[in-house]
Amino acid sequence: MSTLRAEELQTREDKIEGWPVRITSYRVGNQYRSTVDNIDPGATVARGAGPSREAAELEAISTARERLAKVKRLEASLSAVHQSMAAMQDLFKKGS
Amino acid sequence: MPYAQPEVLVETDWVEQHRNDPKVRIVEVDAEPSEYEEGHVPASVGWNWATQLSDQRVRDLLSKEAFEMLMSSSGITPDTTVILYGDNNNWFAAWAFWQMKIYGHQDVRLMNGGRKKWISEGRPLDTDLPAHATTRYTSSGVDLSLRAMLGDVMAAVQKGATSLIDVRSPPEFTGEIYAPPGLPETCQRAGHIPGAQNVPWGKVCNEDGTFRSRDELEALYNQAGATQEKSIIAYCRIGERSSHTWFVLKYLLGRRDVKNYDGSWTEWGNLVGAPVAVGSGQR
Repeated sequence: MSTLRAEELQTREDKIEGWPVRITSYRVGNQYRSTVDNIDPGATVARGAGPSREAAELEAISTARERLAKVKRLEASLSAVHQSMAAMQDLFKKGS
Repeated sequence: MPYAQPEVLVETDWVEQHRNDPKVRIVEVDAEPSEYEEGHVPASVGWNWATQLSDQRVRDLLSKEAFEMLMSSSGITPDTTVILYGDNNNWFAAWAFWQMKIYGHQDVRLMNGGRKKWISEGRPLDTDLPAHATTRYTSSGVDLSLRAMLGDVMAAVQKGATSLIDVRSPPEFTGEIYAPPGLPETCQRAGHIPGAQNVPWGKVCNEDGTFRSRDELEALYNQAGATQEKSIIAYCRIGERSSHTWFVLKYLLGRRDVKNYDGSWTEWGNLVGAPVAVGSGQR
């Protein structure tokens, strides 16, 4: 049986791609684990592991950055629709 | 004031003391199963929420037969005390709790604070898989009064007599974003069900993930209109955060009629013609 414990637990808050996140990391045996959660609602966005805290956090933060960069906002979606409609109206005007 | 049914919660200390009790089965329920593989409460079984706790062809709960098979393969009998805990603040453990109650399991409890608290307290973690003898589990019946379907929610919107509790984050509720930051977007429209009150799931927890006191929880939900007299439907995006709130309302506060709408926003926000409210208005 290989019973271990989480040690050296550290938690800090930061922002990635403008979104508040909590970065947690700890060591289990000879591996470090890291998770990035989105604080509100608190879902895990990405995870990482490695031989050092830095390596584990780097992996988790890198994946979190990719995912958080893709968050769609309603305002941005509506703005894109409005721009597209305006462009189409311009085309019609030019055509008529 | 104590919780309405305090026996449905156990503390991490209790779990450490009872983890080898043959009448107790500890189960870790994760959205991300590698969490379990990296280290779990010794002797605990691991369930993958995505593949083991819902039908894999139709969007639905497990069938009764599939549920019985899961219990049997986990070494659980109808008399077993099942302790659930998991990642993501026990959301998916609460989903499993809700489903076990639908299928009539008598003694199922949540570990207060979940995996996060177990880890932060430096309690033992095991990477070995437990060897529990399989059983022949038979469900005592199906209680669908715990579940809201689309028709129930539509009726609630039309009649206005039911308290609809949206447990997502405020930006999801107002329609600023389509899904929690960093998670896949699974709906066509952003916003909330008209008439719903926003009580984010996290308001029920302390910093360490344990539940707030009964008095604090009563104040929170009474203010949102989810009183003892009302029928209540909780929803979120996919029904897991709302099963956590369902647990609080039904077992910690003793509300008489609480349903979890597992279709949640991924159903309502994709429905053609369904009314959607954004911010404080409606569209």
